[in-house]
Formats: sequence, C-alpha cells, structure tokens
Amino acid sequence: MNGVVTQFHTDYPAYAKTKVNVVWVPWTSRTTDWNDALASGKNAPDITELGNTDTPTEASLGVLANVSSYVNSWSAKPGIVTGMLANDTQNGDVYAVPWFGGVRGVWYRTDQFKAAGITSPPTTWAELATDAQKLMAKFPGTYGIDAITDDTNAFASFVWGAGGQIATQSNGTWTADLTSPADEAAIKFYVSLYTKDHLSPSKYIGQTELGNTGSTSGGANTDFGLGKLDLYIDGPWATATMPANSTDKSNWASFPIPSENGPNAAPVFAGGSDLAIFKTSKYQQADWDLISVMDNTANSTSFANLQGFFPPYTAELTGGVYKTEKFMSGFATAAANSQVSPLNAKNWPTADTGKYYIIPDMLKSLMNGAPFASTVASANSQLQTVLNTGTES
Amino acid sequence: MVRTISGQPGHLRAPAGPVSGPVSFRQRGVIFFRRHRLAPYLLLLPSAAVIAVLVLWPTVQIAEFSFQNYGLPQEIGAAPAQWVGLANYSHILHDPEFWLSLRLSVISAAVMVPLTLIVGTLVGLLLSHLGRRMAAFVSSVSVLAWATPAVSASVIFVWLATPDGGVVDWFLTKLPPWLGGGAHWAGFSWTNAALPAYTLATAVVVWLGFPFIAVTVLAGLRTIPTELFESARVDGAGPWRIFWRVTYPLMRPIFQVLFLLSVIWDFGVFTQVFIIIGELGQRDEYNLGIYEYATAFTLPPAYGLASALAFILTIILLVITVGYVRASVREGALR
Amino acid sequence: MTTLSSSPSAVSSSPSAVRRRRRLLTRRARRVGLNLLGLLVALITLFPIFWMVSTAFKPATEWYTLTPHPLPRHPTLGNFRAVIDGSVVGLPYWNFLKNSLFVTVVSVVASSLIALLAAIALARFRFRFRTTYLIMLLIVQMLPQQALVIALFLDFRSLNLLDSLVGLILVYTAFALPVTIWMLRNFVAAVPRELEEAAAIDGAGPMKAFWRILLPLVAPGLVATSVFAFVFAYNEFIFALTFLGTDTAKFTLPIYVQYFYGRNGADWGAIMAASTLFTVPVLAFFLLVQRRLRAGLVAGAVKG
Repeated sequence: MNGVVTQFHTDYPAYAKTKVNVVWVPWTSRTTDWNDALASGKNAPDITELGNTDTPTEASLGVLANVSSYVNSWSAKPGIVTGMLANDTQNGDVYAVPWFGGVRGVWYRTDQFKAAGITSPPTTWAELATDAQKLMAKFPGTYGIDAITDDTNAFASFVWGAGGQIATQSNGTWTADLTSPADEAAIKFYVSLYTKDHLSPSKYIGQTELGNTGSTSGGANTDFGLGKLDLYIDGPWATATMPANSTDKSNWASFPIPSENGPNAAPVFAGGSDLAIFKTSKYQQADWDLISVMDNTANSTSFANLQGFFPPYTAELTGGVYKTEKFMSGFATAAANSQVSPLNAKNWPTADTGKYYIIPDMLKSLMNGAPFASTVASANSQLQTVLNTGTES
Repeated sequence: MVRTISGQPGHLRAPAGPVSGPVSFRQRGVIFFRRHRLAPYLLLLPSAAVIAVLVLWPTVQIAEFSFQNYGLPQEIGAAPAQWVGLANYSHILHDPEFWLSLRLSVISAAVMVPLTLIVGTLVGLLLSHLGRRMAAFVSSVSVLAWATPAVSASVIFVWLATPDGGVVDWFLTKLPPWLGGGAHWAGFSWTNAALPAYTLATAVVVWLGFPFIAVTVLAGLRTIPTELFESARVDGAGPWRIFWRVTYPLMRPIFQVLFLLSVIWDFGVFTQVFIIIGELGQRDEYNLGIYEYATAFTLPPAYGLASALAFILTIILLVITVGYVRASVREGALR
Repeated sequence: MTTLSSSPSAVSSSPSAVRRRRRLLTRRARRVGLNLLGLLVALITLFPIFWMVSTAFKPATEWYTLTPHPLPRHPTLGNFRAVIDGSVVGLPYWNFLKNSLFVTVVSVVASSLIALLAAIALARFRFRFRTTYLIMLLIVQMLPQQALVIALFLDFRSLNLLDSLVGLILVYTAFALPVTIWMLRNFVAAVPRELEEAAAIDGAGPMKAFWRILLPLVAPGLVATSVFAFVFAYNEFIFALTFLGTDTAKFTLPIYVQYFYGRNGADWGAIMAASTLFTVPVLAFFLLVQRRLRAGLVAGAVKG
C-alpha cells in the first residue's frame, strides 16, 4: 500500500499534501464496523475494501456512494471482468469496483499423490472419496479431507457440481432448492465424508477452514500446512495464513473441486474484494483518484499476486501466467467456471454467516446424526424465508 | 453474626459528667448531623443516583424496547421505533432456537449448581478437619482458582480439552474400558456439540465456583460448637450421619443462600460458554443469555427482539432472586 | 503419655492401652489421609493454572505431542516476547495492561468512596426507606449483565461513550456498588457507636469523628471491598466486549485475551502467554491480601 500511496501522490500532485491513512481492521467484524461507523459517525472510512458479496447488501443499506459517473469515465473499465462489475451494480448504478478475485480448489501434495499411487487428480466425487481414503491409508495418522461445516462458499461447489442450485430468484422472490434431488445428493455426499470412513475428523464439525468462527488462522488450514491433512479445500489466498513451519511447500498443488460425475470441474464461487467509497466521505473525488491508482492493472495484479488472488482484468486471467504454474493452475482452471448467486443476495449474509448460519448448522446437525429429511426440509424453508424477508419469520 | 450495637440514633446518651454548661458548637454540630432527617438521604444520594441511572433505568429500557421493533433502521435514525405490542414475545414463543437455548440454560444450571455445591461443601468439610497450616495452604490454593478470570479459565480448559493432543483426550484414552475410557476418545472434540461443550463449561464453572462455597461452608462450620460434633461422635454416628443430623440443619440458612446464589450465577453464565462454544458461530450451543446477545449484536441487529429475550432472562432470574431476598430476610441480614 | 514411654510390656497387654494406641494410630493415619486428600485437592485445583504457565513456555513443536509432557523440554520466552512486543495483535501488552489498570483503579476508588457514604447511611441511621434500599441492593445484584448490556450499549452510543474507557468506568462503578455497599455496611455496623459518641462528647465534630475513629476501624473492610471491586473490574468481560468494539487500542486485558484466542486459534503458546500475563497479576494480588479477603468473604456471605 505504501507504494500505491507514493504513486498516488506522484500521479495527482494536487494531493501531494493529502495524508492517506491506511487502517487494517479485522475482516470478520467488517460489517459491524461499517454499521457502527455509519450509526455513530465515528471511525467512518473514506474508502473501504469489501467482500464482493458484501457489496449488494451494503449498497442497499445506503452505506456506499454511487460512483457510476466515475466508473463510466474510467479508462480501465472495459478490461474489467464483466461478471465482477455486474455484481457491484444495482439498478444500473455502480457502487464499487472489483479489486481482486479468487476461487477455491483442492490443495494437495504432489509427492503424496505419487506415493499413494494416484496418477491424476480426481474428477468425480467417488474418485475424490477414494483418493482421500488411499491417502489416509498410505499416511496413517493424517486426515483425508476437510469436510468443514462452516464454509458455504466451498460447499456451494458440491451443490453446483451436482447440477443443483442453492436458491433461485424469479421476479424478486427467492425459492430455496435444498430439497431438490441434486442438492440432497450433494448434502449426502458431503456429510458422508465424515460419517462414512471418517475421511474428515470430528473436530472439523462446526468449524471454518481456519478453525472456530472468527479465527484468522488455525483449523484445517494449519493442519494442511503441518502435513496432518491430505486434501484441503480453500483458495490460493490461504497461503497467507499457513504456519511459518509448514512442510513440503514446494510440493503444494491444486486441482478444481470435482463435480458429481465429471469430467468437468464443479462451478466455483467467485469470491473477491471490491473497493468502494463510503457514503459519508467528504472527499469523494480524491477517494476515486486513489482508487483508480490502487486498482489499475499493474497495482491490482501485484497486490493480488501477493495474496494468492487474481486481478479483476480479463486479459490477465486468460493471459496464461497462472495456467502454467503448478500451484495456481488448478485454481485458474476452476476460475473459468464461476458462479456467484445466491451468495450475493441482499439477505445472504444474514442467512449464512451473519446471523442464522442456516447451511452450516444444517450440515453440522446432519454430521451429528440428525434425521436427514426433516433437517434439510426445515433448513430449506428457513433459508427461503430469510432470503426473502431478512428475518426468520 | 454481627449485630449493630444498640442505641437509638438521634438521642445522645446523657454524658457522664455534669450536665450543666452550654453545649459546645461542635457538639451541637454532631447532634444536628445526627438528628437532621436529610443526613442519611444525602449520604445515599451518590450511590442511589449511579445505580438508578446505570442499572435501574436500563432495566426499564429493556422492558420498553421489548415492545418495540428496534432494529438497524432505528439505530441509525432512519426510522422511528414503533410500538409492536407483544409481537416480539409471540415470535419468541414460536422460535425453536429460543426453546433450545432455554433448555440448555435450565439443564446446565441443574447440573452446575448441585455439582458446585457438593464439591464446595466437601472441600469445606475437608478444610474443617485439616490442621491449621494445611487448611490455610489448601484454601489459599482454592482461592486462586476463584480469582482466576473467567476468560483465562475458559481458554485454559479449551486448551486442555483440545482434540489435537490435549490432556483430557489423552487421559481418557488411557482409562480402562470399565471406566469408560478407550481409544475412541482420541481426537474427540469437546466444543462442537452441545453436550460436550456444556460438560466442559460445567468443569470450568465448578472449578471457578467451588472455593467460594468451600470458604463459606468452612466459616459456617466454625460457628457450630464442637460439643455437638463430640456428642454425636460419642453416640456412634458416622460422618454421613453427623452431616445430615448436625451440620446441615444448623447451616441450612447458609446452604439456602449459597444455593440461590449459585442458581442465579449459573443460569446466567455467559463468558465461559461464550469462549467454549467459539463465540457466536454455533447456534445449536447457545444458552439463553448468549442467544439474546447474538440476537442483538449480530447483523442485522434486532434490539427489540433481543430485549424481549433479555427481559425473559431477567424475569426468570428475578423470580429466583425473590426467593433469595426472602431467605436473606429470614436469616436476618436486613436488620 | 508417660505410660507409653515407660513399661512397654505393661502397655502391650492392658486392653485400654491397646485401644488407646490403636486410636492414636488411626488418628495419625486419619490425619495423614486427610492431608493427602487436601494435597490432592490443591494439586487438582492448581493443575489448569500450571498447564497454562507450562504451555506458555513451550515452543510450537511441543504443543501437540502425543503424550502430554508437563514441563517444556526446551523452554522458550518466545511466546511471551510475541505478546509483550505485540507482534501478533499490533500493540504491545503494556497497552492493554495500562487500560485495564486505569479502568480498574478508577472504578475501585469511585465505588469505594460512594459505597462508604452509603454504608454509613445504612449502618448508622434509621430512616424510612432503609429496608427498601437494602432490598433494592440485593435485587440489583442479580440483574443479568448480558441483558442490560443492550440498553446500555444503545444509550452509550447516543452519548458517544462507546469505544471509550470512561464508559467502562461508569458501568464498573455502578455494578460494583451493590456488593460493595452491602459488605461495607456490615463493617461499619461492626464499629461500636459509642466510640463516635465518645469522640463527640470530647468535642470532635462529625468530620473528625469520621476521620479519626470510623475510617481507621473500617479500613480492613475497605480493603476487602476494594479487592472485590478490583477483581470484578479487572476480570469483567461482557461490557468490555460490547462497548470497546474493534478499537483494539482501547481493549482491556480480558478482551485482549479473547481477541487473541478468537483470531489465532492455533497459536496456543501465545494464547497461554497472554493469559498468563493477564492472570498472574490478579493471582499475586490475591495471595497478598488473601487473609483479609477471607474475612471479607465470610462477612459478606454469612450475613447474606
């Protein structure tokens, strides 16, 4: 960020004296921070990074400034991935610009695959389970795969990989689809990763990929880094939180999350971050100028690479640098087939990890032995209600 | 028990010396101060004001908000708070999460209270039979547990019970099968389901709570004349009999107070459970207090609904407190 | 006892002496057994604290061993250094200790002063609302903090007292008052009234009677109640968690430990080091004042 600020001062000499205060706040409390800032008027930033799934909600809450005029006259606009910009648009008005994006895949170690006799990464669910079993047998004392319950962004790939949808919208009304055959197949398979053969250990139940809710390091992430976990579902950004004494970093590689029957990979959730201007900011032109420096092709690419993300420019993504790298190639392949809905729905954060934890709790109950049909049915109706109304009833 | 020294305020006892002569200015000041009706009220004013503003008024507000639809729009001033009558309460009654959290609160209190009382009483009895130095040592160590902050204790116990090489799981795998031990305890996670999590929470609560019970019981035991124990022993009564025939009847008011205090504390336990269940991500492990807190402080905030939950929690505790107040009055603490 | 030391043959044969010796042995065995039991209780109670300190000195390689080792093989100060330097949270430990001590000391002083005034009123005077006030104090102690925190949060938000240590001081003072007043009332009541009256006869004004007579005698009670208020404020969690938001610079120690634990779930060494640095001061403080405290505990509890 320091380089960007220097560049900002150089490119825009008018702001040479403007101090840019960069404040890092914990990611998990970002929505509380925004709402507190808006409510109390204190500590409100001028520019904020947000998750791309936050943007529709925060825009509708009136937190973000309308930047359509800035964006439409922006030289970099045509190169931005259309889908990412569309996520930041509501009723034709743009409220944020994409900064970087990322997708999830499955991490593995090439040496482990070779030792266990796995010649190519799995492309179906059945192969995924068998490979996890082979790895656990070859390396006793390790966990096969992390079937955590609190990572809907990853679980979604299983639903989509069975050809189902979590929820669909028509005419502004959401219908939840968890009880459809495709969804139920995905849920059954995911839960079986724990219940059958314990390919995933019991301690991952109720956890995110980083441990307890709110953790920024630990859990399955640390386990993979230390060699205790063989297959790890997460994005390339997870390198940042791996422990310093991780083993075999040179053997890390990725493959896309398999679909139910192959041969193509399952669609993945296109996560990422946007940059937006706070509605209450008094320096919106200056804010935009800074954003345009932060988010130009060069800076966004280098920033994205630092963290294991992809920049939001189509040319960079299809350019090829990522496709040839052992570690990133799996993710890059997965990125070709991405989906966002319904995770960008206005009420999705409330339904998922904001308040109700509907799908995480459903998976957790099922892994703890709750009856299948009734648990899924009640989660389904709850999801539908919350997506449509924002509250449970 | 200390009683106030008798003597009516407002009347100075007649001085022993000659009564003649004028009352000095200072003496008059004391008499004035004593007789002046306002003196106690003035002295009480600061505490009354602080408690009224920061404790009593918020209680009234909770009741008030519970009948309103206070949410995020109201908080940022985008919309006024509207009266919704009993809507929040009827929503709660139909909310399965409410009943689950209430059940967890009740069951966990039902286990924590007796366990803490039993352990505390046993330790108190032990202390009363130990020599002076040993008793002082054991009670000092116990008080260390009581002084440990709830946050630290909870974090330590979670660490002890961690599935990756934690002491608890290791110990359980080493236990013989007839005690319930065995290899199936390896890697057992204590925090991802309600039963193990609240078992862990019970351990923390008992560890933190037994010293207070023990020291109080010990003090109570010391007020019982030793002749009673002697004569019971001479009559051939064993320790069990002695406890129930001699100790308990004489200490019943103390036990009643301790019981009620424990119920109030354990039903409203928050910090330990909060830390153990990993803060706010596991809704199937919320007790009533945590559910109410989560309703208010996760997004979108629902202060009205949370206030209704808070009010229910408060009413439950107040009902128990009434019992506590009655017991205190009976014990003569209010004289 | 002289009989035992003199003729052994006489002792071993007489039945009453046999009984006496058996009783002596069983009494000794009983005492040894009880002492062992007491030792066991002490060890079990101390074990969590011991494990916390032991882990704080262990390097990362020793946290997850298959069989737990009570003592670190290669003790390290690295965890403590990470906490004190603040390399993990971004702020050094002293920052949070300073916040905690500031809030704790100010609220203890404030609540002790206010409570003393109230205690004098309640113990020395009879007035119409005395019993009502006492009952109010009992009831107020039982109001759940996690319920009131909602209203207090919203009130403080509109008063701009969020993210501020001053707000915490106000709340801690208020919530410490009921217990403190109750305990001090008993201590004040224990001072004989005649002493003040004798001072009045000797010509001392009410202020002097207070300073010279009452205050010195109530001092041990003040210490006991201050310890209570100190522990309450130092350990307090719910209000600090809610009112301090995410302004990490203002965190008090309990919130700091929780923040640490909540975010760095796998860094057990540092979590235990932070916890140790948080817990040890209050434990040391306790050991220092524990005798006075026990008297206070008894006075506060036995009287209800």
